[in-house]
Amino acid sequence: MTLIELMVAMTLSSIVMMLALRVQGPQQRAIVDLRDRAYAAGELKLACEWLRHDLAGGRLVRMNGPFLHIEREAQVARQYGAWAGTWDLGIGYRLDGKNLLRINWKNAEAHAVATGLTAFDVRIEGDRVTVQIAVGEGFAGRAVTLIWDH
Amino acid sequence: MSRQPASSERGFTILECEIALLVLTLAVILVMRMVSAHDVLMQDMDGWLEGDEPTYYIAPRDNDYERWLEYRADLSPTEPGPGTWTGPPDPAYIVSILSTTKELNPPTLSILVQLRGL
Repeated sequence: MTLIELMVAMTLSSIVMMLALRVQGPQQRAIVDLRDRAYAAGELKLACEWLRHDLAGGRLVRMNGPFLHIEREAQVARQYGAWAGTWDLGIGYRLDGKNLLRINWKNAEAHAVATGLTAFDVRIEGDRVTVQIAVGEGFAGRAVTLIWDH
Repeated sequence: MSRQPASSERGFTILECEIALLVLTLAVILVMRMVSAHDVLMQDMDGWLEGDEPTYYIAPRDNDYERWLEYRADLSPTEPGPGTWTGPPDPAYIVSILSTTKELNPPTLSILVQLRGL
């Protein structure tokens, strides 16, 4: 094999290798993004289901400091022993770092119901409560808006 | 009298050249197909991501009893209309929940209630 043949073969091999590497990088990133989006979707669903559960029996929603405070119907609160005579001790939600904390004010017990959150924005206009929840960022992020109209 | 070339000087046969060319062509075609598949994947994902911030309305049950029993609120992509519940049955009853039992396997919720006529 001559030197020129060897150089041609090396050049062609290099081009093929470069093409292969060029494909591999973005594909791996796309797969990682897909994984992150699937994770984000799961966490969003958890957050939505918890809010859906508490708002199902909700009577009044307001902001209490950093907390989204949900007061439930008397009959619902009584089931949990949280009825304080004329009001429900209620449930609070707030963003703690990247965790969505749910606090049961009956015993001040807090636990994270969803993780990886990047936004938990609450807007209250009259009887309408709009909650925007986002998990993840950029290409791998997902977001949802929940509206509760009393 | 012609000289036979030494084995180190011998070139490639046509068959070897054709096989090498075939392998190289297949490799290039394979890589090109991967590039094309990746482009399609990226376009699909771009389409999937467009407008991907849905809005859902949480609509609690308009039936008081269902709400008090914490029936799951509906999640609706459109704004729910006014409720259709017309109030308790006539004659009305006082419903007292005496106990609730939740089990995971199978997932069941049993409620013992007492009905008293007004």
